[in-house]
Amino acid sequence: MELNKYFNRKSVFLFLVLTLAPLIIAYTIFRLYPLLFIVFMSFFKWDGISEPRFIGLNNYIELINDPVFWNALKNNVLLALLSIMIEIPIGLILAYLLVIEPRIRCKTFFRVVYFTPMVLPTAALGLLWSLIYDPTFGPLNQFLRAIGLGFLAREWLADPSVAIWAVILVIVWQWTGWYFVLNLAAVSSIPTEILEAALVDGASKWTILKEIVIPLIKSPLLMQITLASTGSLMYFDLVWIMTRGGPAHATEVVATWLYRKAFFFNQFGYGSCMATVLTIITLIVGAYWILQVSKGASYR
Amino acid sequence: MPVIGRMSPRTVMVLALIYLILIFFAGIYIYPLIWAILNSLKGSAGEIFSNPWAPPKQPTFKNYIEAWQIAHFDRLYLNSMFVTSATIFLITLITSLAGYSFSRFKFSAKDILFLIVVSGYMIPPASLIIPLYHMMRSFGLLDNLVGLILAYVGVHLPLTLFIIRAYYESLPKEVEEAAIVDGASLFTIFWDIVFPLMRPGIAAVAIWTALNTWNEFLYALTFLSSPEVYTVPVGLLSFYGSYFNAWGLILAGFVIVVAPLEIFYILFQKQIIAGLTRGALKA
Repeated sequence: MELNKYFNRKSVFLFLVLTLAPLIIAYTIFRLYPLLFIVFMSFFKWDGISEPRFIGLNNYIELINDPVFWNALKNNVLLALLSIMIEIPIGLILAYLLVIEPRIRCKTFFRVVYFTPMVLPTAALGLLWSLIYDPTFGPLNQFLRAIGLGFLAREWLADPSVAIWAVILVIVWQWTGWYFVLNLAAVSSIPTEILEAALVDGASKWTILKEIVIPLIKSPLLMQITLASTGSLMYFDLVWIMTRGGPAHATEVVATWLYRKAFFFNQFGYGSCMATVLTIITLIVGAYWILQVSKGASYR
Repeated sequence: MPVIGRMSPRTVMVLALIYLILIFFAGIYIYPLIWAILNSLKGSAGEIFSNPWAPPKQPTFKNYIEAWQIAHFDRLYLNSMFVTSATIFLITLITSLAGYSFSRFKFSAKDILFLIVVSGYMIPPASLIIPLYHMMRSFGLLDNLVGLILAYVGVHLPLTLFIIRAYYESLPKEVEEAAIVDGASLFTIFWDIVFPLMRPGIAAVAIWTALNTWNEFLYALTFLSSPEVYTVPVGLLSFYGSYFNAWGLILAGFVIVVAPLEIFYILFQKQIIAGLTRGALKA
């Protein structure tokens, strides 16, 4: 299949060097070197200015005993679970309804609307939701008071017991559209004859979804779980924009905590240690799910 | 209503239920945007605070004019355009060259090299922020759009290489082989034959890079400290930080940021959705 055979070794070599060099150079400088840097620096105490001091495994020991880190990791896991249990199923149901029911009009409209928050800056959406959640003037609390449910009104982003749910709700709101379009592509790839035959046989839409559609799109679903779990582990944006990890670390995720440790407390060694651990966890989780995807694919 | 007439009551109920679900979710996504637009047109904060649902009594654009001047949206837009177009240029250049070699040639360590680059997608961007920050500082590229562009190239390489290689694999090799038989050189083949055929692939990569660069927050927040170099997301949040009580201004700023993107998105929704989902689908 390769084009090697048509050219002499020298010109192939020259072509490969010229085409691959920019990639290898950029990737080495901006991904590989930084990756080695955080692993290396995780064994040092470093304020970012003076000479780093080697302290062995002390950063790792500190990390294991850091309650904020564990709470942050717990929030990442919670986000991952909710992404998988809410975003993907809702995305799948919306996509399935649009495909299975030919009588539904305005399909393009629904598709465009559900995907909208994925093309807008998260900064803008976070700002909008901060206003919606505003305890005094925010439309959410004003609405609750207006319909006589004023006792439910909260300081949504300042109350440690509800803040994490308030933030996750917005993340779920933003990302459901992403899993909707992925599922729309997956469900649309199923041959229509299969679905039509099942409908003619009198199977209910719910049965078709459960017995036919989900087994047929197992690989894309596993791929979505891969994206949702790794994406949730590395999550930063809306948490920082809406709460900066507060109140009292209640909404902290690992990325915000390492960011604060490094850039606010100048603990760059400890931050590198947290970054190393976060990277390892993400790579392991990602590799595990990718393996499940390829296993599922080889069964077919 | 002849169509409804032929349906059983149960079918009508099911159809109504489906519409209800679809419209409910559409409302969740549209309503906050409409709310923002309506309130951005109100003349005073008091009018927003007293009744956030009412439409503006006397719609006015004065918030827009004021917000545009205070937050310097002209400068924010120029900065973001510069960063985004430079990142798109570098990314499409690097990946379309390398992707071609990956799809057409055999060389040692090819699979390992590809795997290493693509698995970079699983490295959390926040994890590399410390070394990138210090690297940019020693290059003198901190608080500088060039430094930001270079950091973005690093972030976007893994997935864009993956997308573009999949496109190359889908191109038939016969055309190239015919040209080779005619004696064309490798560079001629790449530039005159393959590159024009690759336009859809490059467009997909460009769309993916464009939106992810335009909307990026973490690196811009970390590397940029002077308002003169802020990109749109960082500029908007800094504006919000100083004027958080002036809801009319903030919401006008929100609309200034969101509206052009929304229009662009509606015009090119097919290409944008396909471009963004491609990477995840080709896996």
